Amino acid sequence: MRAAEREAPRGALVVGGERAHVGLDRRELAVCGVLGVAALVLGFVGLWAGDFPLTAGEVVGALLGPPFPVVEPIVYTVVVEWHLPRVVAALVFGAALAASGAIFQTVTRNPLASPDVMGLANGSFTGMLLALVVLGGSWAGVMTGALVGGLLTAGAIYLLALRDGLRDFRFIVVGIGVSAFLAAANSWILLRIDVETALFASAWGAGTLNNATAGAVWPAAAFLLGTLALLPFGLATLRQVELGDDLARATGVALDRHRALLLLLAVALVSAVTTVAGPVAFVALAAPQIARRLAGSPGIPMGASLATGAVLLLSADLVAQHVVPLTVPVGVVTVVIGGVYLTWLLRREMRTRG
Amino acid sequence: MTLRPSPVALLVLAVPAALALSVLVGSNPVPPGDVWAALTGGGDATARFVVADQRLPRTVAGVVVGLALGVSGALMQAYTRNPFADPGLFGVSAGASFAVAVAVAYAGVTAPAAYVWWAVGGALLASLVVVALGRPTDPRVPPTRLVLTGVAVGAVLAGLTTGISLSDPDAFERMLTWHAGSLIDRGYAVTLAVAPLLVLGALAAAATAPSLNAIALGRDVAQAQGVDLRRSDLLALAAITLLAAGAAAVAGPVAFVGLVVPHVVRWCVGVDQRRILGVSAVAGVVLVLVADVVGRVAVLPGEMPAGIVTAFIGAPVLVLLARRSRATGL
Amino acid sequence: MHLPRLSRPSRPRPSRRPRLALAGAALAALTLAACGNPADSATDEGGDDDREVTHARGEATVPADPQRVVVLEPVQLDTAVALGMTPVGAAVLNEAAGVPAYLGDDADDVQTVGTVTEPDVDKIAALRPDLIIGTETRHSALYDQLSDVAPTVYMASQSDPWQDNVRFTAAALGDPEGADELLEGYQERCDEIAAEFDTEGRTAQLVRPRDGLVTLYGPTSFAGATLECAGFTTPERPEFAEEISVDLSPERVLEAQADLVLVTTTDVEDESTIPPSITANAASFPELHLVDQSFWITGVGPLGGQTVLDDLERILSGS
Repeated sequence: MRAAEREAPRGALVVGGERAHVGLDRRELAVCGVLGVAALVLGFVGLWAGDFPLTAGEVVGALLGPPFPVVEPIVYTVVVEWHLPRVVAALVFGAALAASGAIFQTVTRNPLASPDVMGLANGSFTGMLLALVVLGGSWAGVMTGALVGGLLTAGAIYLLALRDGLRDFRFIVVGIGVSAFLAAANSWILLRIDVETALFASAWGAGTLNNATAGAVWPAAAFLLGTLALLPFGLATLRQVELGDDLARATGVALDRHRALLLLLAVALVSAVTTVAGPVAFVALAAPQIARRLAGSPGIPMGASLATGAVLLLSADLVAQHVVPLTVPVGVVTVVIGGVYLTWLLRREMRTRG
Repeated sequence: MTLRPSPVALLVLAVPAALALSVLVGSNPVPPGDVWAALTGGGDATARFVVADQRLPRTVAGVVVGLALGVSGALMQAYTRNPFADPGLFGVSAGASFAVAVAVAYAGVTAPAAYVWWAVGGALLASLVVVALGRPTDPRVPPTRLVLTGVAVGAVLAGLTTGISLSDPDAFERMLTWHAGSLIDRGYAVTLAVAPLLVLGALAAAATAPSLNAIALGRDVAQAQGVDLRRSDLLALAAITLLAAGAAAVAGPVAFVGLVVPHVVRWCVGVDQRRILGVSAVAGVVLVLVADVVGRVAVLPGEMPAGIVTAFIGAPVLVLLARRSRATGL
Repeated sequence: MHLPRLSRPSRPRPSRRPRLALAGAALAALTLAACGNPADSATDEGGDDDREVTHARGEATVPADPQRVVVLEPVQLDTAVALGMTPVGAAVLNEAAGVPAYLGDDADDVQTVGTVTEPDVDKIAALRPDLIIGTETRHSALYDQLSDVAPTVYMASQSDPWQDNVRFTAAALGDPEGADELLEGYQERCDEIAAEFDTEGRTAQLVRPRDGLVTLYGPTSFAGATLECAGFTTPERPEFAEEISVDLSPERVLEAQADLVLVTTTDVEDESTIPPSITANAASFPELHLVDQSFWITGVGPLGGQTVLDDLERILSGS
């Protein structure tokens, strides 16, 4: 795994300089710009498209709001109270997942690492399933269960892996172990409950924005944006972590503490997303890898990762809602789109670099 | 790990014990005397049904699955030089699951015994696609991209599988049980169907084993030592795919065994890849058989699928070992 | 046989309108909808005709005479169709299969609005319903959205006794007497079968194969309750005191024996769907029949119950 990082061309590793300076090079800026435009266009499509027939004019009218009361109340409801939170959720959640994946992959220096792999998703799912079985299916219970489950899992992995400092190796092994244990517990619970409840739980477990309603999305989005705003401060450290343990220690970073804080940030991001949308798979894993290849950068570009994650999740949600003839959770589509795209990128990379 | 040779000796002794347990213990208690009678063709009808129709065939299936997962896992980790690689990584598990989902949801396949062909076909097809897309053109390059391609293709297939099963409650329920990975009611027919694959896979594994130690030192080094990298890669890929596909077809995608067994074995027996391969095979058999037996008695009158029990047993052991030992990568 | 729930929300005041008129109105609404402009019948400024319904989320004011109903749960669809108040939209278990075939031609025009687990709020809003019925345990997160579209009432849980859920749905639709009639009709049909085939004292067991394991359905399950309603007894098991079903290891398959054993399948013609552990002990299962799981397991409701009883009668007269 590490070989992949080390194979990268030299010279570009010094992005970022000393501190809190988000080093965007020109290509990364261009990538972010293109993705930003894509997000805007897709966002409008998201507001407009749906099984409730809307005209583009109605969408604009509804967005402009009360001073222009040209639309029916139900149109306003559909556009502003239903579609808008969902579009915002897709963008912000996608960016947050990508950020957490980027942090995990940089800290563990393993392109396969992501909070999904590390068992957080399974832990949230366990919490949600227990809430479902013990408390019944109330939405508040499900959200609380997911949040508590994810946080407890993160805590357990951290405590179990903590022994004379965090070693990425032990960290991954413990993560795999905890993840497998929780996955087994989840499939056991799913086998024990009635099939329709299991179906409901599994749709959630795949990651869905179907429950991204205004009441849940606005607080979550506010929290996520606040947390993402802390990223630039962690970024300088992240760069140093990328250089490897020894080098980072030599440059005087209090490594373990920074790693722990960075991972905490990543866990907070994932937990907030999972609480509302369930464990949306693969965005955290694929978005940083896709962004790295788009931006042609040697390490993982944070800005481009955020933009990639946002566009990936939004387009996946549009496909899930409007292209697939059957109702599927968005997580199913992120996996398929992300997977196909990553395959294509790898293929292209191999042809150009051999 | 101060007692280097003894874990291996214990393990070898554990095989006959696990085999005996698998025949003697089950969810419908049969006294040992009656088990013996049933084995020798006597006894009452119930005992014969329980021992000869249920426990013997699934013991055979357990041995085959454990062996295949242990060997393919060890090969996978040696070949990719990634101590966290799972033998299902090259699309095998995802391909098998996808094919079974298609069979159940669209092809009207209802008998679990018929899944086996779909699972084998899906697994082989998916891994062919992964290898065709991701195999490095230069054999000296480590197969990092092959692994990533496997993850990507596997994710696509897993997504499609979830999509199919969530849109069809009946398929969903069947996939849920199949996906957990179990040996429940696996007759001889299922094991026999995949036997040719497993034999071929085992032969390929044996043929590639001698080159593994050199490859573990680095692919450049191996080539310098005169290893034919192309040949050994081809054999390794064939062995991994055939063995993992066979195991998935019999028991469903049991994820944990192929990853953890070789990983832990490496901590115990050191760096000799041939030794890791052999010990992993034995340890795989013991883990699968023991997990299956525990699963039979854990939740009477039902059963807990072996795929779930392996994780319940194996995961705490893995975490404990990771904390205790001066464990390292390859 | 069916356990009355201890605490039940107070029943809404029954509407005084005759059922025939209701059915006629529903039909008229359907025709209207078919003609194209749903907006016409959308906002019915009921006023005097409103009723209060107590449901899982509290109180809701719903039209006395709902014309465009959307239901999100199979038992609600079954009940509504049985009452002659065919909904305009329904969430279904299986989108590819659509509305269950056993509901008959009446249900052909029902539009699907997503799956029971993931209803599509846009589709629901586009139908311009005047009443939405859902389930708290499944659609909890969507309550506010659905309430913006139309008065929405939630059944507490799909795992409550099904006859209670039938009564709840009928009450929400403004026809509580209809539920009593339907449930009486079901009971009468049970008694007929019990008398005709002298089922008294015989045992029956519904078995569902599950990847090698066999699941036995107990007297509190829908199918088990229907078998008991028709005079059979379910072989006793301690687990049935608390669970609706119990999983059996194939080693213990002989515990599934009964005078009548019914094995669920998707294809009743395909004998290979009988689990091998049962086939191997064929002598112990002399009266074994394959039954269609689309109504034996998921056909919860008065129509599903009648379909199950018809199937049971067919099986009993054949043997």
